[in-house]
Amino acid sequence: MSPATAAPNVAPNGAAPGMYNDLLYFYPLNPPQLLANAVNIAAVVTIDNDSDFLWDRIIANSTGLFSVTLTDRFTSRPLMPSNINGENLAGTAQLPFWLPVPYKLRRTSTIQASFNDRSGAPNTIQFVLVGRKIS
Amino acid sequence: MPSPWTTANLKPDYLPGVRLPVRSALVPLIGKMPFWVDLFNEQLAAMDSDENRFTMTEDYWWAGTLASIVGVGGVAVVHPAFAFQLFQLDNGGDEASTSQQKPVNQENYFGTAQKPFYLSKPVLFPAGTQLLCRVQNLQSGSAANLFNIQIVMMGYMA
Repeated sequence: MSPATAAPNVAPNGAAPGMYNDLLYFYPLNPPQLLANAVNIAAVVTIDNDSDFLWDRIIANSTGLFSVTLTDRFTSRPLMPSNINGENLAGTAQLPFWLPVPYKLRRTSTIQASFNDRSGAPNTIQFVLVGRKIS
Repeated sequence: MPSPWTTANLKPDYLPGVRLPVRSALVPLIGKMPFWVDLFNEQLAAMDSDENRFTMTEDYWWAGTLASIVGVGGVAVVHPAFAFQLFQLDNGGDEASTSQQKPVNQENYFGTAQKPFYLSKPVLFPAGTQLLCRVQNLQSGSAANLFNIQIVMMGYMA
């Protein structure tokens, strides 16, 4: 019998922020459940302090139709002049909305979302910014 | 350590189910902010039409178009639901140019967030460009054919 082979070392060398490079990272926005036809329900996500975030796709699920306005509070600029319907902004895990060019969100910066219900019924939404941590 | 710009350039032209603009054409967008413009967001009754104007306040690279239609009152949407035409206006507000000889049906111009209709190469609209978007509900007769239509231009802003 051959001697036991040492398990390959799959751990990254060191714990530098770069270790996240190939690992997807999810920043969910979880607004409180929207009441029927509720407008301007805010949710905020803060990018972790350990790394910048290279945002390259958008995923969401909800129990009804919704629209949203996103604002990059690092630059204090909205990403849209008015509300964009969820169907036109976010995909699913199977078919995410891909940003053709990723957008870098700096560490500790925040993205604010303002949600509106379009379903006329209570609406539970999770809106997720997906990408990679980068140093 | 690859920089974010390297990563952007490494993104393939094709992702599962989605054709992205060609990589070389995306270089001018690197470092720009993604921006969604709702060109049109209205309720249109059967055979009704309307238009909306939008002025770019900064340089804007148009990368793709998306649209959503919802039947008011939960009514099923009948296709073709609407036709669309986009014009670039001159300084006098007159129609200066368009890339469509006639209005194009929604199914032939738009995707959704899951499968956007991306241009092969992004188009630059310099700051001050005025756009006019004209939309017509193609369904006739029934009052049930009342649609909420949103047309969105996805791109990047300086």
